[in-house]
Amino acid sequence: MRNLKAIGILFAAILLFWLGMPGVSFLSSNHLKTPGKQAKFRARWGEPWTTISIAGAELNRFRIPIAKSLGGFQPVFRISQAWHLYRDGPKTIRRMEIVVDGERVYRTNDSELDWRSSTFRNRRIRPMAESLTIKPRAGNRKGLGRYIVTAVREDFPESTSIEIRSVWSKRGKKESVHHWMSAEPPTWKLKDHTP
Amino acid sequence: MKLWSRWLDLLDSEMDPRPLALVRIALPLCVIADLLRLFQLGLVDDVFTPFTLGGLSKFQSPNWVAADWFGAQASMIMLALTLVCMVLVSLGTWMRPAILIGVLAYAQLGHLYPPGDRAIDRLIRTALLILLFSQADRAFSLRRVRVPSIPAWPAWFLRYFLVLVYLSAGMAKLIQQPGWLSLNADPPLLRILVDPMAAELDPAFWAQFPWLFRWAGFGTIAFELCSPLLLTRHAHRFALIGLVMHLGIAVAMSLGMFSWGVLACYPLFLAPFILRRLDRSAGGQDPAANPAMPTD
Repeated sequence: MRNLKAIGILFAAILLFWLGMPGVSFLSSNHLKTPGKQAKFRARWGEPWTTISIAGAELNRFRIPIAKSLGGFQPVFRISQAWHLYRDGPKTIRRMEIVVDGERVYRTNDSELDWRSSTFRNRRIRPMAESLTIKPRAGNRKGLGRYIVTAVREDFPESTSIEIRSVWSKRGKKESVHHWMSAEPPTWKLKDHTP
Repeated sequence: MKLWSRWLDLLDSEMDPRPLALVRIALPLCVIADLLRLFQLGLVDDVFTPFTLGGLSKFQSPNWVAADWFGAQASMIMLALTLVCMVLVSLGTWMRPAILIGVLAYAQLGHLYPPGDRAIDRLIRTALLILLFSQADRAFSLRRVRVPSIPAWPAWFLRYFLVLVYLSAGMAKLIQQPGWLSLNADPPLLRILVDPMAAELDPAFWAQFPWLFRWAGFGTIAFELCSPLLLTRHAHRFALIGLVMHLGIAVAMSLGMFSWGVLACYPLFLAPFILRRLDRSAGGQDPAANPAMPTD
């Protein structure tokens, strides 16, 4: 029994390692797969990094099918073991702005324009605001857009126009509106705009 | 064979139940606070309702199956189940069934609203599932009588899991963005900490101090890559760096329960400090004399 338990725990430890193998689990299955890609990588990074990277990519291609079959239980608990966390930050400073009747009422991380900022900064809403700001016509933009329109109409019942802007700038440079959505009465239907 | 004997000995080792009990209390409290915050902001219906019924997210995971079983009330049932189970786990009452049901319900909420189910949610669920195999309810618990020692292997397993998390994070940073080690490139940590979408720092002001972020970035990478030290007898000292790092993240970024969720597992690393404090306040013996203390 003692040995059986030890084998079980060892298997679980190896499984956990295999599912989220540090250093390779974030690589795509096509990473450095073709001679062309490998040559390009070699030209940029040289050796020994190319050999190490190709070995890592090969190991990952060996790992993925086994991880898929062994890790089939993960979706049940929603515990996929891929821990990349914050790898890098954006070079572009992006903010979401909400403009009601031509007046800004919300701007990301602005203590003066903080209408419902607790909501938009909440960790569960922030990813929605982020994708809406990064991508014009982001797949998930409509839900947050609809929420904002409803909230504006609650808090500013007299309002006649709403804009949700994505404002971009490089650090130290002037910012500009990258894309935006607008809504107006009577339908308050959201329209996408790009300059 | 010697290696196998050592493995068996490690699995037979025992520890004071209190550090693991603190983890059992703290992890569910993070989930409870996070969900109650949604109630406070009036966002529960928006977050936990499918888009077609007026909710925020257009996408649900195919593993969102609770609606097939419970119909229109599925999300509220999952939410209630998660909250009740987390309270029970925290109290140490019916810990094992509460963890299992609670994690399943919490996972369903994640499947219903994938954009808001982040790495920290996965980390907490995994940690709770590891606690499932522990006797973390043998201290600071409403139900079970305290015992002087419990099997230490679940605590070791949880520590090992956190090391894997840190190692993966460190290696992914380094391999994908060599700027983390550069003395000249724009420090990635600066970019992360002045990103207004996720962070609190003013980009214009803090950009004047790139060296600060460069060295903090070196420190972050060093901590993450040296995280196997968290499996050694020096873990409690090394974990102080992690403690500072996570408190820094909590102050400088708006990541909700991220830092608190990870720090909820830190009693395992900081056990020597915590037990000494607990024993002193209880007027008990010096924990250094307690062989059950997980110091190595």
